[in-house]
Formats: sequence, C-alpha cells, structure tokens
Amino acid sequence: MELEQFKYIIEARDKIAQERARRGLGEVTEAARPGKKKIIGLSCGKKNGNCEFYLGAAAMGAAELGMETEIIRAAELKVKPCRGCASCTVALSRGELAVCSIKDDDVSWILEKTVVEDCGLIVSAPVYYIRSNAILMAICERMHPTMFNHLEILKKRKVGGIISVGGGLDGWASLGLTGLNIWVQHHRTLVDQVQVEMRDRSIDWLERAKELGRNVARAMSVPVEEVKYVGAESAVSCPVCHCDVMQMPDYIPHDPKPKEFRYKPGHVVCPVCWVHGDLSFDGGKIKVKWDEWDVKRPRLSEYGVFEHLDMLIRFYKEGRADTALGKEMKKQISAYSKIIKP
Amino acid sequence: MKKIIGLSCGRKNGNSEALLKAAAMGAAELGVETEIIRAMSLKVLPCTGCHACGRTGKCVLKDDVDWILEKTCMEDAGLIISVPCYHVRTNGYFVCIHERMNHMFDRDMNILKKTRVGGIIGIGGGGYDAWTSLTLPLANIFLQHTRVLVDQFQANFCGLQEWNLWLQDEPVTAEHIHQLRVQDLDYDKLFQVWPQKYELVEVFKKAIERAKQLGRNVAQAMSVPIDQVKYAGEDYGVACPVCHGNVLVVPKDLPYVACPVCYVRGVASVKNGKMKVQWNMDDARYPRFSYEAVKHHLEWLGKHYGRDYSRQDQLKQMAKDFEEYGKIIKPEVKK
Repeated sequence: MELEQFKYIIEARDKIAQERARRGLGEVTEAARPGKKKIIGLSCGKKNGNCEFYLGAAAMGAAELGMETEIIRAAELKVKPCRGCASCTVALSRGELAVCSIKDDDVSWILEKTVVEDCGLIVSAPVYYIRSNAILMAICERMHPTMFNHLEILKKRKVGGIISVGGGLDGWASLGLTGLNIWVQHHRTLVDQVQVEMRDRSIDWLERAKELGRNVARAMSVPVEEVKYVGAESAVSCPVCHCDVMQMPDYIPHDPKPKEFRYKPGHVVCPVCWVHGDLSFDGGKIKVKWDEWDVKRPRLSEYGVFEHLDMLIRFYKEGRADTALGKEMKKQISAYSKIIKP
Repeated sequence: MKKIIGLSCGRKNGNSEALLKAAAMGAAELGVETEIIRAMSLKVLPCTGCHACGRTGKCVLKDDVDWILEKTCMEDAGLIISVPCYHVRTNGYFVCIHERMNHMFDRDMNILKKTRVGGIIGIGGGGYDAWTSLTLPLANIFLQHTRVLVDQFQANFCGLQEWNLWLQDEPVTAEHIHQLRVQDLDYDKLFQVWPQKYELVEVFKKAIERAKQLGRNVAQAMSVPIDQVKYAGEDYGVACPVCHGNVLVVPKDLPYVACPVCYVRGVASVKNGKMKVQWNMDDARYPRFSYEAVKHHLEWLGKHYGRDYSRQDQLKQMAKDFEEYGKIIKPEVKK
C-alpha cells in the first residue's frame, strides 16, 4: 500500500483510532451507507439572502428524490477565524486527540455536522471580493482538529455539491468555486458545482440549483466509485475540481513520482488540486493534458494530505521547524518594531 | 512624514511578524519608520453581508477592523502586508479584514487612484510541492485596491529553490529543473536531499534578507513619483503585468486567458513547450482595481442589485415555496 511510506502519519492515525476506541467515541466510519436520505446544506450567506435562496432550490430538487435537507445558517452562528496556535497539529504529531483552542464559537459543531456526519452536503457561499467569503474560509481553516480526529473522511466516500453566488460583469467571481473547492475537496467527492452569476439573474439559475440538488441526491444512491461529475466543465478544467483556473509555475517541483510520470518543461498545474498538465499545441489549438497519476492522487486526497501531514509531523519530531538558531534570530528581530493599537 | 504601515496577520511573534519586522528594518535603513498592526491581538469579525454599509457608510459590527482599515487604506503611508498561508490561501484574519473594506470607498473613492505603494510577504507552505498557490493572488486583491505593488514574495519553508524564486542565486532554467527531475528518488531519500543547498535555518536567514530587501524596495519607491514606480520583485514567465501573479483563469477556451485578480486579458501561445501570454495592455492600464473599473462595477451593482425585475413577483413566490424545504438547524444552547 503506497500510504505506508508516510510512516509518521500512519502511526499517529493508528494511535488516534485507539484513543477514540478507548474513550468510546464510536468506531471509524469511512463509508457513506447507501440508502441514507439526508443532505446537510451549509449556507454562508446572510439570512434569507441569495445563498439561502439557491440552497433552498437545491433542497427542493433533492426532496423530489425523497431526500431530507437540514440547513445550517453559518452567518447566524458564531464563527471565528483560526488563530494559528497549532495546538491541533502538535496533538497530531503526538498521536493525541486534537481539541481546538477556540471554544466559544460554533465552528466545531458546524464541522461535526458537515464534515463528519454520514450524509450528503451542499454548500452555498457568496462571493465577496472575487473569492468566497470569510465565513466559509474561517470554517475551512478551522477544520484541522476535526479532520485529524477523523482522518478517514479523506477517503471521500461521501458526495457533495457546491453553489457559489455572486459576481458582476467581467468575472468578478473568478475565484469563487476555487475557494469552495479547497474546503469541499477534503472530504467529499464532487458531484456538481455551479457559479451563479448575478449579472444575468434569472429563473434559469433556480432551475440549475434544483438540478444540482437532484444530482447530489442521485449520486447518494449509487456506490461512490460510480459517482460521476455532472456539472459544467471549462475548456481547461482540472479533472478533480473542474475549476477554470490554472497556475503556471514556470519551474517544476522536485517530485518523487515514478520516472514515466515526470513532466516535460512547460506545464500547468491546478492551484487547488495540484494536478499537473502538459500543454500541447495541436492544429492551432492549445490543449492541456492532465496527468493521470496526479488525478488519482490530488493534493486534497488521502494520499496528498497524508504526505503533507507526514512532512509536518517530521518537522515537529525532528525539531526542524524551530531550531535554536532560528529562535535566536527571531528574538533579535522581535526587539525591533513599533506595535500600534487602537 | 514618511511612514509605512505593516499589517501582520499571523501570530504574535510568529514567522509572518518576524519577516514584517525584517522589512521594517530594511525600510529604516532608508529613514522610513514602520508602524506594525498585529491583527491577531485585535478583535476581528467576518462580514455578515448585511449591506448596511451601502446605505449608511458605516459598518454595524463592533470591533477593531474599522481602525485597521483606517490605518491601512486611508492613511497616507506605504503598506506592507505579511500574511500566513492556511489551506492554500491567505488566512482568515486577513480575509475578514479585507472584505470589510466596502465603506472605505464611500468615504473616499480617491484611494482607488493608487497614489501610494505597497508590498506583500506571503509565508507558509511546506513539503516539496509548496501548498501556497493562492496566497499572493488573494493578498493582491486587497492591496491592489489602494496601492501600487512594488514587491512581493512567497517565503516557502520547503527549502527548495524551485519554490522560492527569491532564494535562487541564479535564475533557474528549464534545463536546470529537468536535471533535478531526472533523478529518481524514493520518498525517504527525498528528505535526505531535501534541503538541497540550504538548511531550514539558512532558508529563514535568506527569507529575512529578502524581506529586508522588500522593505528597502518599498521605502525606495516612496521617494519617487508614483508613475515612475517599477515592480522590483521576481517575475514568473506568464506573470500578469499588474499583480505579477501566475494564476490564470480560462473563462471560455484557450488561448484566451485572464488574470483572476486584475482581469487583465491575454492570449496564450505555446512555443517550444513553454507557455507565453500576450497581455492586453489596455486592460493593464485600467485593471479591475483601478478607479475607473471599480466605479463602473459599483454603478453596475447599483443598477442591477435589488432593483425591480420583470419576474420579481414570481421569484418571491418561489422563495416562499422553498421555505418549507430544508429544516434550519442550530447547535443546542449550553447551559
């Protein structure tokens, strides 16, 4: 098994699973049980706003196929951004259960409902300033303790759909789906996504949102291996997140892939999934050929996240993150500055 | 008086603050003083989307964000943002501050004329493949509203030269990288050769040097007229001429691409297996975050948002229909 090479994270995962069993916190459930009839909807927009409007439409669509939808209004709950205390990462490196140090808000509950619970998920978030809003982003970056305690979610056995609402004329919502995908791709197999463009606000978008609800509901009744993405594709969309964004590193990271999968110079990557692609120029048309090895192991998959976490734990264990010299340097710099406050 | 405002969005005495202070040191060499704002020590709440600022020009949330925005957006000073990368993009504190800036335009649209300069320090990442793709683009969305970008860099603590453009002694060519890549390495061995040339402390030292240089660059740019300010950072092969980022959005089909931040459009071409983009220089003169373009966007929103539509009644009726679908759930209140 190729995951075995990440020995630090495998060790931590097993320890955490034992700890969970010892405390009687329930067994590891990695599979969405077929026949589940529940979808959780997470609305990050304001109460009775457009986000909830389209999420309601999706719920209506899902209800046609006998699904029941529970909606979370994140804007009405208390959501605080991550403070970067790293207590969850330290706990992981020791193989302990992680607890978020921010206890006076509702994010842990939201994550328990959306990430861990065995059900479908539809997220809708508004676009503020080209990307999805801070409430969604705060929920996303607070997911570490929940994710570390339930590493099995990374197998993505559950399905999800995405609604992003916003925009203006020329692509004022360019990074909406990208931001949402960074969160959803951690724990869901993507079935459908839509960027609702406010520039042509019409009833068609409602129909589209309903269709999204139906698509998610349909995907819940088949085994996850057979789930297919049914949303819109752009010409260059990465096969994992299907966003129309690509990044040009112009240089190639040093990667441990087998020789036959190494790329030629002149490639692109998906900034969300880190799937690489080769560019080809064929008959007056530029095409991107996405790498098959990467498509099976994108950044936000069990393989990719394990690799990343393994590296982080390695840092903590080997003391590479903060050496004495580094600390001394920081100290010298910290003496210099004028901190202002209101 | 010449002054730089530094906005640190990371932890108190964390890496991003250290690099910001290094930049302040660099600026001090040229006689420019830096005031640092520690966002994490202040109260910062996300925007709830209530639209009250559109009517009253004030934010209803009671926290320190107004003061931060007052300092960073309105004050006549340079700006250096130092922001950590969480989950591939800028962290929540930065995003919360950023999206609360709407009512600053109500107070003075002229901030969009960009008569001041700024720089960005992105920090974070790790592993051999970075994990920091969207940090600089997202930080740019905030900075480009009010500042001309002078310098930016992403400090990637993976120690690899390919991922830290600023870390390179000489420019990396495709051949160089090809040479690196033809070695076949096991995962474990990768970590043995992983520091390549530099240990992590060396990387940190070099990052501090680079941050000092950024501070100097920003201070330098403050002493020349704004139309003569030149971008002093590293450039990618396909960098957008305004924000110098390397993320492209492809709205319809190649070869037509655009920068997702500035919406400067371009035409891509491939030569010798390498992509080049011919950018539309008219767009680059009036990018998305220019006085003209933002004004157009706000006018457009005013015209199209919340106004009567021919099918408004129908939409309202449908909204009512949805109410019975979906049960709103809430956490139980602890007693």
